[in-house]
Amino acid sequence: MRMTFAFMMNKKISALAFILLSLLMAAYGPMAVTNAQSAAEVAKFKELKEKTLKEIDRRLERYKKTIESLEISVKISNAESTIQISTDQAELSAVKDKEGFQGRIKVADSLKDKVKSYAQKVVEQLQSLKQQVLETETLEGLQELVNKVEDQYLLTQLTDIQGAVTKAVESLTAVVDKIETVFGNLKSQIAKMKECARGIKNGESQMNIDVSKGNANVNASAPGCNDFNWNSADLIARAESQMSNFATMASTIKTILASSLALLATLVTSFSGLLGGLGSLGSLGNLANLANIANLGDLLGGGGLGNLSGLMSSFSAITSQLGIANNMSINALGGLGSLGGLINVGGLSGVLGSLTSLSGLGNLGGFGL
Amino acid sequence: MDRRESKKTLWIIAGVIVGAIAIFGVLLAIILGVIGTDQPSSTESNIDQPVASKEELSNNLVELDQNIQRSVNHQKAAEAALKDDSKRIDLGN
Repeated sequence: MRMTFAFMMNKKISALAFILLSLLMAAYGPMAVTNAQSAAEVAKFKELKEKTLKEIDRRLERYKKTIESLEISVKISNAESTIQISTDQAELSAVKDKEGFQGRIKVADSLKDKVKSYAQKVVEQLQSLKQQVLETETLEGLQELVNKVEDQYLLTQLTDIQGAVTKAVESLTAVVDKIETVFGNLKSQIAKMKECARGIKNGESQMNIDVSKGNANVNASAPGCNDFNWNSADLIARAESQMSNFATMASTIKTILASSLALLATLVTSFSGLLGGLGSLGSLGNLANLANIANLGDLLGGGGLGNLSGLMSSFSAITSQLGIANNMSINALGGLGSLGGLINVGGLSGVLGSLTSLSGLGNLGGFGL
Repeated sequence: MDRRESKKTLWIIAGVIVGAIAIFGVLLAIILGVIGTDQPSSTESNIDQPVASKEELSNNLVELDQNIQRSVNHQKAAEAALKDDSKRIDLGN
């Protein structure tokens, strides 16, 4: 009887404990779920914030690098006769004859300043956006900022591309300028060589030509003769023939440069116009306030995105053209250097060997040198 | 008689005009002839221009090389900027 009572009491206590436990679970269960959800949201918030800051920093690093490159100007010789293309005057106007464009091509300071100013505004607004991301404490607030970072990517990236392409075009102006200078140097050397040949003709000097081997030896008594490496009788003819080829090559590179610059100026003007169409703010103001424009995606949704993609394709086309021009410049350098070495006593072999651009060029025999 | 005199005067005037034209033509031919004689070619005319020294040529070649290197690097930077999309961090939007 006593055992039955004890058994009954234990059973009741167990049932009571079970009921109490159930009540506790019913009371604290949702709280535990909420806590788990909250922990997941905190983790998500933290992860998203870190990723967003990392992406902003990545963009800032790239954009700042472009601005730094734009701050260094290239040196163009003979500044009095430069051809400049500004943003307001997209057309190229220059005299062109059989030797190519007359005058050196230069990127107008006004165009470069405008491009640089856009890039700086983008950096400023990205820094402002970064500050907002750092300060936000809610997932909703962060998500809103993330949307802005994503929406404005194409626009800010295009600003960076515009800066990078402008710098690439400007660098090519320095290449073309120097090709023309070296070309002029060699032209004057060949003229001097002709003077030497005239001295020989006038009996002021003697030239011995070994016809069987095609070699020529000139003594140093004629004016200017001791500067040259007369290794064949038809050296002047060969040199002039090569100079004609280089003139064509230089003219082609210059034409590519001029057309790239003209297209760049047009694109900068188009981009500026597109920015002016974003809201009621001024074009630069728009870039500075990108972080505050809530509906940028909507604003670009109509013709905007299409226009941006079109601009992107055009910048891509310019970049490809610059690649071609750079390869041609490397070939021209090899040819001009070899010709310099060919006509000068002692040659320029030491200099040619040190030219890094030529390291991947291999055979310069294509120039017949 | 007066008619014959006036005819004579007319012939004299005509002769003077023809003579003047002939003299003018000869002068013109001389002037054009001088201009048309052998002119130094554009290359030859460079003799009067300062001839670049070997050092100058050498330095300009080195500078051209450096300019090309910079130009190639900047062109590659522009290409990289065009391909930046591939380096974007996915923010899950």
